[in-house]
Amino acid sequence: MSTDAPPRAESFDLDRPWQLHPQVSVRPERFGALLYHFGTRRLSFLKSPALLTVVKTLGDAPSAREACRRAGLAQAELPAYATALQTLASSQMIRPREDP
Amino acid sequence: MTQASTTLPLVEQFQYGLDAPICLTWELTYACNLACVHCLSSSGRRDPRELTTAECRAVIDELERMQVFYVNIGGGEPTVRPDFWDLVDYATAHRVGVKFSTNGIKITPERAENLAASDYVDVQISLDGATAEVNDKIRGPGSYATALRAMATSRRPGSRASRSRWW
Repeated sequence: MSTDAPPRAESFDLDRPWQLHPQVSVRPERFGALLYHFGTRRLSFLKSPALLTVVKTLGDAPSAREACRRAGLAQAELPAYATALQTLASSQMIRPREDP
Repeated sequence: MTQASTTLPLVEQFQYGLDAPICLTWELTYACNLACVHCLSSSGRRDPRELTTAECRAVIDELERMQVFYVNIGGGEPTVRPDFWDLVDYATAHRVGVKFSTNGIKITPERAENLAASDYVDVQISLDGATAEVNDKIRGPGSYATALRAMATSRRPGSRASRSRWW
């Protein structure tokens, strides 16, 4: 899939494990957080504190869906968050986690 | 923090600024082996008041606490400081990335190997002309050869190179 394609919620797999890319630093901000990727030199904005919670929880959760649940998100909010997560996956800020 | 402040559109959030800079620029020393005609900082002689190694480490500690993502180190020629490589290592060990500008004078094969191994260091080697004739008129005799030697020494399979222009 081209990274230039607009992200679509249905293309993000909520049911698999994900993790923050190890070369990404996360800095909480009043609006959410700033992410800086030392490999790609790209900066991303997390536009809500709940999204920050999801991103920080991803690495310990068995799935992105479970990370969203732990962040207190309602079912109705999942599509918007899946879109946001897909954007982060497209820019390599998060990546699929291969559990042993 | 109120709920209202967190639900404002991002562009409106920016009026409150960020908690810390994304990056900042640090003129670590004014000592330099060159005397480029356009030098912004009138570099050449070391400022006797420049920070000690311990003070530099304290600055890096503060950047780490502030969660500044990276620092752009220039000067002067930062690599002429004997503690420069130690400070680079100290910064990256504390998750403060380093991008530094150099004329290439201290880029040895061993050093280039170390730099290439780090995910948190970018090196900018300065040139002011596409030929020695043009470059050296601005940056001084031999500076073109020094920069090109440093670039060749730094080249690695898979390393990324880019060119920037200032004018």
